[in-house]
Amino acid sequence: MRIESPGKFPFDERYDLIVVGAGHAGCEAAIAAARLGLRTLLFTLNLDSLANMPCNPNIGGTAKGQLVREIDALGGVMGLLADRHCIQFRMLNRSKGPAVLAPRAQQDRTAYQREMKKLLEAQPLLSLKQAEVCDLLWSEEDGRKKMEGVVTRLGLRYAAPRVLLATGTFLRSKVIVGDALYSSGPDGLPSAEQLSASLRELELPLKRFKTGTPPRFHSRSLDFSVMQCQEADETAAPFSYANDERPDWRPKAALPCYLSWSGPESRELIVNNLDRSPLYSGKIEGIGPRYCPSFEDKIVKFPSHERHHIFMEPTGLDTCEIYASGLSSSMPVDVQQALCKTIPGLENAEFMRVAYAIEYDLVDPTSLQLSLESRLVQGLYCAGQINGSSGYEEAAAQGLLAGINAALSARGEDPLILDRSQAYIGVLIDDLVTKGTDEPYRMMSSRAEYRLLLRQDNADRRLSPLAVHLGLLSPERAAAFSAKMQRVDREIARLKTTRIPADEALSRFMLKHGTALPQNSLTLAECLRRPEIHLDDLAEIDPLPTLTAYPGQLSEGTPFLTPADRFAVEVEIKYEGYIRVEEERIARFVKLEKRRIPENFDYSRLSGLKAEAQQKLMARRPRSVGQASRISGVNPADISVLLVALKEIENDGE
Amino acid sequence: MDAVLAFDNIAALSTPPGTSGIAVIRLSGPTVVSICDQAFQPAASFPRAAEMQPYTMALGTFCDREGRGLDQVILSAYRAPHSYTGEDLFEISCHGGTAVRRSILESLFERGVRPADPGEFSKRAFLNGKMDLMQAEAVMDLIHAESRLQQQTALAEVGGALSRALSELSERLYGVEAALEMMLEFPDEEDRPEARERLRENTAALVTELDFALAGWKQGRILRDGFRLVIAGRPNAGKSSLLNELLGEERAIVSGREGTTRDTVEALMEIEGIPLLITDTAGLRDSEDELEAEGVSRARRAAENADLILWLHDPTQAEASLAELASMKEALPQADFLLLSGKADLDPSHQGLEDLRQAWPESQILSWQKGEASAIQALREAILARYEAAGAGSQNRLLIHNLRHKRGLEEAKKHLELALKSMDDGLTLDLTAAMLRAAQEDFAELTGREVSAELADQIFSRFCVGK
Repeated sequence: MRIESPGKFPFDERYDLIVVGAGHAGCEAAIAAARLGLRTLLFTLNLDSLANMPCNPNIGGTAKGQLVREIDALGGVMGLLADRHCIQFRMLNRSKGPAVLAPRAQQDRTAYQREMKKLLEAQPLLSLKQAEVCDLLWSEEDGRKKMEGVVTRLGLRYAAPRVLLATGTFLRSKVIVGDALYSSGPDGLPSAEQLSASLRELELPLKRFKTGTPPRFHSRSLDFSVMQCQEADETAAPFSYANDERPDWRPKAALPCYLSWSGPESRELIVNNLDRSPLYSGKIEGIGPRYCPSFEDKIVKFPSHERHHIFMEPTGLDTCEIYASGLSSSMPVDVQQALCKTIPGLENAEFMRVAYAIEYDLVDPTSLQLSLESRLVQGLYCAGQINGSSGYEEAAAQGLLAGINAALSARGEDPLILDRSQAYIGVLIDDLVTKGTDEPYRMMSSRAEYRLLLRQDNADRRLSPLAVHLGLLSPERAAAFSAKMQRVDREIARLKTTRIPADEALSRFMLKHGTALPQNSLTLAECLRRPEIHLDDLAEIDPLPTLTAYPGQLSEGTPFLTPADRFAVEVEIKYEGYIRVEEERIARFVKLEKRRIPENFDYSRLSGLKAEAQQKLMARRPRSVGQASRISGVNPADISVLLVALKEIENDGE
Repeated sequence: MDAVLAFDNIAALSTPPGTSGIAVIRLSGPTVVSICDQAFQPAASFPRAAEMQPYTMALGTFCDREGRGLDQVILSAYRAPHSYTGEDLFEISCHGGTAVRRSILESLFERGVRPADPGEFSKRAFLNGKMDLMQAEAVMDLIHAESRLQQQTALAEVGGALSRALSELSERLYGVEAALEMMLEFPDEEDRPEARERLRENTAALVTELDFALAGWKQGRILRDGFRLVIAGRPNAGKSSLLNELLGEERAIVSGREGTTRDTVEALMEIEGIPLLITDTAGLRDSEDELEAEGVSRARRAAENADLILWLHDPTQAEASLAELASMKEALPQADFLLLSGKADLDPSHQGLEDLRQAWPESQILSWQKGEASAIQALREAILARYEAAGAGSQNRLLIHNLRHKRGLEEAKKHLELALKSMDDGLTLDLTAAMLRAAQEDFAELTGREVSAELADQIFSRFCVGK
């Protein structure tokens, strides 16, 4: 609702920032903003359901694991909570290399939620309220819209110059199972029916997506003996860099998952019942995710695949509910039940929650700036699924950045914008804002151009200095970070300067590890670059190997490395040549990112631009030539015209 | 800073400086129509500048601000956006004397027109969407082309021949990358030993293609700089006469540099459209004379860089000549030699030919006598054949003569080789993927699919004034 004179409007309470929605985005945003000094109000539809995981009960995985590490390095909370409530840890892609190595942790779902609630409650400056936000309050001056506050279902009016929408899949959400279609949010929570109208009134471009979730079964009804057991890794690695330094950190449980497969009968059943799928009968209009397809989608789109994986995942320590990953569906319940009969071990599956699809409104993220503030309404921020992403980790990452940027804007400072060479978070936000998305966007490692640098082992090196500068890392964390960097850098320097003579001992060592004999003396770093040799092997020839220990275990001043330090050292040295190639590419990339486009740049005078490019550039107003180059419809020819034109203007200015 | 791109009126001489019959001054900008209208007094029955139809010419007098006539000129009119720059544009064809040109340009400058910077007309053409960056680059190569083949290669690039070839390589690389990404992104299903083997083979095949393309650099270099022919032999063997005859036959001398016989003499000529850079060397002998010693060492250096060494054998000093040829062949094992027995008039029994044949039975051997046209013709044909054999004459090869293209291909090759190395070393696939991606970016930058900030910055500065 537009209000005329905000100064005189009868508000009930006043805040610096209002966050709407307490999912993974909203929680990170509210905590970050409050830590940075904003009086923050966080609304949730239901206080017992915040930080819910209504879909898969795990955090991390390919590319998502990197996101969680980055969130932690920036001072977010997801990593710490996921570490505390991990009930099965697995490091994915161990054989694929350090760049794509991905930690994943099954979660004790309700414990995670309870702990998040505790964190929120304990956070100074943060108020937590259960209420449905129904309307946004805004003013308009000289054609420029500006946020003023929100109104709840009960008519209470809260003032804030900044409102952050983290509404997840709740906007006008509809649950669909077979013929049944009704208004509801995920997990039986109410949908937010009225807020969309307010967004439309603000003339924000809305879209509609669809996503889905698999059924949950009672564990006693499943025959695990015919499935393949997938145990937790023997050694777990935490998400949080703080836990990297704790020798006593362990996941609180190591429950197994179980793997079964669908077969030809499953296919036949689905094919015969396709007409009953709302996806294919046209009942669902929203666009679903390609990378997280429903079971019927997989059958239709991959007809050559004989069988599909079905994972049975535990959802907590205090529940018998088992999440059936791979069985996401919007088929009628009787088809879902019949499907189980075709899958070994699931024949007698007892449904506790059926699979369903859900449709929801979102704001087209191309209407945002890279700070996640709307280009159309000053003080309006969006984060999470409302921006068209999918996944808890993607949501948390956006929430953290949006919260930080709301705080920076309140301080009158420049927003924190991570570029594509700095973080997966940068890739995520740039993809959403600059390229937009036509389906729920999932983070994947192939979306990142500079994977060798965006590793999960060095997110702290990449991002923690920013967090320290912002004041988002506690003094203890900041000190631990700089101590770690010193340890790692010192060890790298030591390995590069310690020279081993080409004597018999070195030859024996090389022979033992099956690598070519050295002609001359070698530094330890040079030895380590031999593909056959690993950091641990070096102890055999290292005259003074550094001890492995944790902070506080050795007497003051004794050099040591934690296992995480050792990993970082090994990767940096072993892959140095490859990493350097990537750094050269980044240097090229950064040149275009740094070529800023003046905010008042007049594209209309540039007749060398194609009409579509001109129109899009005028509408989106990219910050840099680099960002402009990623807008669809803007071609390399347009970019080179832009570059030469900017140079002309620069020269004229001289 | 005012972020508006404002174009003013610019003018420059478009024909080469120096006295000529006719000179053309180009004038482009938003208000050139009214400027020309003031300065140009049409002859009877010709329209005023402002009333000229696009693509027409008019005869008249070009005047200064006081209305004094400066020259009789022909004015050619072009209107935006259908002109070279995309703006209103006139070309003033005037008489070619220095004073005339200068007075017309000065009268324009007095009227508020600015002298154009190098490449500024082309830059405006580019900014107004008349050409893309790669085309601009090719236009530049075209301006600097010094032979017909060079010109054809540059023209083919204006049409995108190189881009097409590179795009095909890039497509193939995309295929390899996609397979690899599947292996990385979907942990269990795609990573099989056969898949890894295929990955290696496909990458190696791309390296071979790049080797082939880079081989085209030598040919491209020949196109750009000329086929380097070095005439070598004993002092007084007749090398200078031979050079003169080669040049005398062919009047198309592009440039020539005079030197003493003790120095090297270079001449650029064209045979059948092929640029030939001929170097006449000082006699190859170990000399005690300091100046001559310098000449000899230059001769050796020239021979090292030669595409073809023409050894002129002197039958009157056969022993020394054969010995020197042998030592030179030994010193330059990779070099291509063409042997020529000279002074046929002093060698009626063709002993020279016989000696050469005996010493170098595998070599092509010709004979030459001063003033004999058929001998020169045979020699020219032999040179052409060697040129063809070097591959430079082949039309269907990917010819590269732009240094930026060569460097880009070398970068791509380096990155693909690193990808291969990572596989051969048994390293993880993330490294392989990163190197493939680097190579892909090299292709993208080469073909202009990805913009190179450097190219955009530099390209127009390499143009000359008036273009």
